[in-house]
Order: sequence, then structure tokens, then C-alpha cells
Amino acid sequence: MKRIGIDVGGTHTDAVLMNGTELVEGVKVPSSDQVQVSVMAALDALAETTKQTLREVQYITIGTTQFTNAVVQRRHLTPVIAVRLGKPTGAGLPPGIRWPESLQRCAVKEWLHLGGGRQLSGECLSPWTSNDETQLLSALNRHPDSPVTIASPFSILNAEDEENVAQFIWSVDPQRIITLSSEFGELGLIERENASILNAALRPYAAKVIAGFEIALKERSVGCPLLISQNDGTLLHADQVTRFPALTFSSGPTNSIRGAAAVTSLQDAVVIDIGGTTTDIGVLRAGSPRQSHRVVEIETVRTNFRMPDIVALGLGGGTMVHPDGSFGPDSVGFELTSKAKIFGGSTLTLTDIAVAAGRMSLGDPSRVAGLDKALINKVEAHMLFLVEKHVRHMSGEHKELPVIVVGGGAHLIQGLAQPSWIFLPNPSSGLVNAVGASIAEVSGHAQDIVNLNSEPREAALERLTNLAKDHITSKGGDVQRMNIIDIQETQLPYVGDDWFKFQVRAKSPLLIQSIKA
Amino acid sequence: MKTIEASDLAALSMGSVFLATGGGGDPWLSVVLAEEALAKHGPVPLIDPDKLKNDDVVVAVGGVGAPSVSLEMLPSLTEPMNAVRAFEIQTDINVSALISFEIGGANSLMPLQAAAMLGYPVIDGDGMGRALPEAQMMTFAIHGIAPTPALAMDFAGNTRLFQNLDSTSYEIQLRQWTELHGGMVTTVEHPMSRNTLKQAMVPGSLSFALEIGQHLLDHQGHVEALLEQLRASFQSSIYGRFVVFGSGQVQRVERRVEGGFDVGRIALSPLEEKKRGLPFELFVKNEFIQLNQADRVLATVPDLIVALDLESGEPLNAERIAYGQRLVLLGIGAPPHYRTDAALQVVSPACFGLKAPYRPL
Repeated sequence: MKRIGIDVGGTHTDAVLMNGTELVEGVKVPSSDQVQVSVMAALDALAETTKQTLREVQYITIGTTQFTNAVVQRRHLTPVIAVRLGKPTGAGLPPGIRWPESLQRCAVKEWLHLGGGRQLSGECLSPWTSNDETQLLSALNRHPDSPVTIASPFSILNAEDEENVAQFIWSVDPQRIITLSSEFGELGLIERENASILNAALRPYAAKVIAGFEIALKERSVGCPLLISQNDGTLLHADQVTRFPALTFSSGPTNSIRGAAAVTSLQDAVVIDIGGTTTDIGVLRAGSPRQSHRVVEIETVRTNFRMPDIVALGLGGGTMVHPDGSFGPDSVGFELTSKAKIFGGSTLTLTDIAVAAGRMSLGDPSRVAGLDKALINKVEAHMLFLVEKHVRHMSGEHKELPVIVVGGGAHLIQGLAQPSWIFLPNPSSGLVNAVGASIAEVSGHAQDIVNLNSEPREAALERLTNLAKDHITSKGGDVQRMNIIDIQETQLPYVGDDWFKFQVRAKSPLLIQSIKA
Repeated sequence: MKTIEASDLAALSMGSVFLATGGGGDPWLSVVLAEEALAKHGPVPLIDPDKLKNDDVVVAVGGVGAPSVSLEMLPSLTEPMNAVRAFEIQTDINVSALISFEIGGANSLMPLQAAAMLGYPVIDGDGMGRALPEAQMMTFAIHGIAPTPALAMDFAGNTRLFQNLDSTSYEIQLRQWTELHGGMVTTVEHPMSRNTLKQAMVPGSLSFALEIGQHLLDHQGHVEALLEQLRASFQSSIYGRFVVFGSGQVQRVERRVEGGFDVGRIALSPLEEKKRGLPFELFVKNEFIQLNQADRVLATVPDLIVALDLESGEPLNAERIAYGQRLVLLGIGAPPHYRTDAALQVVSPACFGLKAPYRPL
């Protein structure tokens, strides 16, 4: 059974053709500013290399860092009207508080503090008045193209207030893009609101990106489903990503860790992915990336996303080396082949150091032959120190975890690192993200309001687990290898003491990819 | 003169979360508000009671209610200041300085937020040396200091003045009012003179929380080094023995709000191979009140039970604990003022509905 995994990165777009769990072929093409061009180029390269038609492919999965990059680079964001209900609570804590100023400017157009919202008891917090409506209408008129976010106290228990305001907005402006904080439902209003703002600000861009992918597939007469990998390594349909682009933020590192697992057949390891600008270090546990359970910060913005625990270092092929032997975080990135010394440029990069040390043969080595040996040693020692320190930190109490090194920049430390570290051979090393994207899983979830007086906890959980299993089966998942990823039990005090909202979330590999026995 | 600056607040809040033993509320919002207040109005003087004059009055200021409520019904910048002003107007008492009723959690920061905006100093001390759910558990109450006159203010600015003869009835009435007014209110209570304060307070707790917090910040990600530093700090403190019980992975979290408290139970499977069949169970009533391993009781209130994130060393509140997390579980002996007969009348395990007897760590 054939499928294609595509990783659309900032510098390169990789594509792999998988047959079952076998990597048939992989290609790497430079990324373009327009995603459809990148995807078409990758598909073309793949079709040519494999001399196969793409018609038999059963599905295509894309992992992309487009949306992460947009936030990091402050590009392609449309600032939103952030509506907060429940005035006067939260006075002095406006949406975007403690965000980096540059990001706040790009993401929040205006803040409205309005009435409404609930107390814990379910009672109204403050009244929604005609004054609130007037303020809202005025903002909508002044900013006709701004998406809207709505965050209301206790909307995780009762989303009515947010939904009513959304309906009110759509009654005057049916096309308005709206994200509700209850759609990112976990306890913590600020974190939900932050996630909503980042999400809504990306939605206009997401529509363009997804349309671009779909055009590319159409142009190449590829009729199979298009699936996009999200933060936890499971798949979303393209139209879901148009509504929830923020759910793809960490699909890159997730895919690289899962790809490394697939290629090495290891279930537990530390994965080091050395790229052009950064090194990402994550941990594989029982076949999945270890999740971060702390408040996940995106560019220091507090959110409630469930994401892999990754440490990112400013260490990559294009990282600039300073005269005193320190390096980074600045990097020439994809301009390596014009700016690095070995390519005739005038910037000393970590790649230049690797060539000078004899670890890589690339470009013109004579251009770095005269480099001070002491400098080379100092830089290499520091690189190794930094990487080893973070590997130890990430390993935690599991000090014997194998270490896998992948990525285009793996050469930087090959030969320097301990012999036990596993360096994937080329071309696999540079293609792990695309492999990871191709083996993404499906997730299923079920939720219900349960009365513990009439249904004991264990029975309710079993019932919901079975519903989640059905959900997974309907998406083509293999329930035999299903893992529960989250169980939440939230009391609903306004209904009564014994009423709880139960949510079960699970995931499994797709049925068609059975691991060799 | 020692002052607290906006830049001290990160360490203070870390240390206060540690001492909050699972309760105390999320400090992030309180830090942001306190930072806003100190940035606008300048640093706050931190003083010992000796600096007070004979007829100066100190009041305890803080939030009362289920901590998870503040995660949704956000606090406001001016509420603590407004509550102190309302207290002064309604009781006709001039307040000279503020003190925290519990150093554990967000309540270590609220007095600083109010003090900055009012121009008052804050006392280096508190009424618990940790966090605990009920008013009569404060050292002020145990020393027989009247909790009232006291004033509570809700999110909408409504106030209620309390005049009670004893802490228990004050606690009951306050709790009822809180439940009817959103589940989280600000109170101003326990007016005290200098000499009374000296006798009844836990001395130096704000500075100690800062010290612990600095260790937590300095050793993030290095739990072994962190535990060593903490052990050393606690050894030369008023607290008792420092014990590391082990580490576990969260398998189940049950929580509910009952009678105005966050009540719950957390089950963990031990990470050490040889302890596999012996699950941990952590009981919560706002704070961690009991830790068991299989059938054995490891620790109970009033001793301190703390949960740290295994990877980062960060202390965690009960409401932030989720399925799959890996935690280090610690116990620290309560300071001597909680081991007296008078104290054990109100902070023994039985006072929390627990059956286990108190066996000091």
C-alpha cells in the first residue's frame, strides 16, 4: 500500500514514497515562497525518481512548519479583535499581556472587555448589555478584515456565552472568521485565549496554504485524501487545518522524532535533529514523542497546547561562528551555499569548521585551510558540550537511552560524538521528517456528561473508551495498538454534585501500516 | 532597608508555590499583577515587626476560595487595594503595614500588590509558613487573635464586614459568603499590634520563600542538584526533616469543588522498578494533605507534601497535575508551631477528615 509523506520546511521540501513500512524513495527540493510550487516540485521529483505514477497512492500526508514559522517570523498573521467576556474580572490583564511586543502587535488589533461570562456555579457573571453590543459592532465595522476571538470565564463548562456572541456576530457578518476559546478547551482562561488568538490570526493564511496544497495535488492529478499532521502526530483533514492551524505548530519536531523511530525501529531514544539553523532535541518514549506537560510556551506566550517536549538550540549548519569561538544563534540558514567560506562567501559557519576539521567534504576546503586549529578545537568542544548537556537533561533519569542523530547538519558532530550515538545514513537522515509525516496516526475521542450516582466511574470510562475506539476505527486506525493519551474528568457544579464531564482521547497507528513481526 | 522589587517576584513565586504544597493557586497571574503594581508604584519595603510603632496596626490580606476559580474568573489589579481601603473606611482603623496570611502560593504576592499601590510596607513573615485551606489554621488564630473585624470583597466590588468571636465561626461564614460570590474573594482580617504580631507570626517566611525560589530557578532541569540545595536550606530552617519519597507517573486524577474547596485524589505508579506494585496516592483538599504508598501512610498534614515535575524540578499545584505527568514526591516536617497541642487541635489529619494519625516526619 503506497503513501507519500511530505515535509514542507523553510529551506527544503522533502517527499518520501512509502510502501508499507518500506522507504521506497525520497527526494529533497528547495522550498519556494509559494507552498504549491514546493509541493508540486517535490511530487514531480518523486515521480521522476521512482518512475512511478502517483495515481496508486492511497493518501498523502503533509507536515509543515509554515504556521510555526509565521509566528516566529511575525509574518502572514492577521491581527484579531480579541473579545473577553466577564467584565470586570480580569481588569488589568488584557489579552496579549506579557506577549513579546512584536508578536502582540501582529496578532491583536483591539481588545474588547465586555459583559457576560459565567461563575463556577454556572450563574451569569455579569450582564451582557446593549452597550456591549454597540462596542462589538463598532469594532467589527472599524476592522472589517480582522478575525475575532471570544474568551469567556468557565466556557470549558458552558460554551453558550461564547457561542451566543459568535451567533450575534455572524448575524451581521456571516463571513467573519471566529475562534472560540472553548475550542481549545482546558482549564485556564489566559492559556485558552492565547491559543485562540494565535489560531485566529493564522486562519486567513491557513486558508491560502491549504488551498495551495490542494491546487498542487489537483495539478498533478492526485485524487487521494490530503491529510495534515498535527502537534501530537495524528492526522487532520485539510479543512480542519483551515480552522485550526495552531494545532500543527509542533508537527515538524513530532515527525522527526517519529521518523527516527521508524527508521531505526527503536521505541525509546533521545533524538537530535540538526538542521540549517537549529538543533531540536526530543525524546521518544514507547514509540511516541514525550509530551511536555508544563504550560507550553510558543515564543514565550503561555498556551495549553499538548506538544512534544523539545529543546531547541541555536546550532545548525549555517550557524555563524564569532571570532572569539562562540557561535549562534544567528545563522545564514538556506544561504549557506553562497555565504559560507567554503562556497566563496565571507561568513564563517559551523559547516566551515566541520570542513576545516576534516569531518565533511563540501565546497572548497582550501578556503578554510588556514583556520586557527585552536579556534576549531574550541568551537567543536563547545558544540559537543552543549549537545551532550541537553541530551543529559532530556534523558532525565533514563541515562541509558540510545541517542539518534538526524538532519542535514548531523555531520557537524559525527566523529566528535560518542561512538554509541546512532547516526542515520544518508539519505534517510535528511528525510526523517517526511517519513514521520507518512506514518502519522489517527486520534479518536469521546466525551459525555456522566452522573456518578447512576453510572460508576469505571463503567463510564469503559464506555467512553469504547466510543473512542469506534471513532478510531472509523478513521482507519488499528484499535489493537490503541493508546489512551488523555482522560479528563471535570465536575459540573451547576448541574449538581455528582455530574461530571468525562473526556477520553486515544490514538493508534493506521491499520494499513503493520510493523514487521 | 530591605525592599522587594519587581525582579524578585519570579523567585518569590517559585518558592511560594513550593511551600504551597499543591494549593495556593496559580502564581502566574498574581506575579503579573504584582509586577504591574510594583512597576507602576515602586518597590515595597520588607520590614520586621520591630520597625513598627506601638500603636501601628497590621492586617493580613489575601484571597480566599478554591484556587482553580482564579484560572477562569481572573483577578483584577485594584481589588486588594480596594479591599484594604474599604476595611479602613468601614472599621475606622488606620492600617500601617500588611502581612500575608499564607506564604504558600499566590497569597504571598497579594499583600505586595496592595502595598505597592497603597504605599505601605509588608512584614517579613506570614501566618502559616505553608498553605492550608481554612482560616482557623493560621498561627494568628492558634494564638487566639481575633480574626475580625474583617472585610471580604467580591469580584463585583460588593463587601461584607465580619464581626466574629472565634475563628471557626468566621471561617464558616466567610466560606459561605465566598461560595455565593463567585468562589474567590479578597479578605482583610486579623488586625494586630506590633507585640501580638511578633508572638503569633511565622518569622522570616517571605525571605525564606525567596531563598527556596532562587534555588528552584537556579537548578531548573537538574533535579538531583536541586534536591541537595533544598535539603541544605531546610536543614538550617525552622522546618523539620526533608524526605524524598520517590517518583511516580500520574495514572488518574479525580477532582471536584466541594464546599468551596478543590477536593481530589491523584494516583501514581512508581517509576522505580522495585516499587512497581506499590502505587502512590495523593489526597487533596486545596493542598496535598496525605500521601500513601500501597497501604502505608507516608506523610500527612501538618507536615508539608510537595510534588515536583521530574524533568524540570518545578513545583506543581494540584490543579495543574494531569494524566501522564511524572513527579518527584517530597515530605518536609512542619515547623514547631504546628506540632503544639493547641495547633494540632486544628491541623491534625482528623481536622481534614482523614483517619490516619499524625506521625511527624
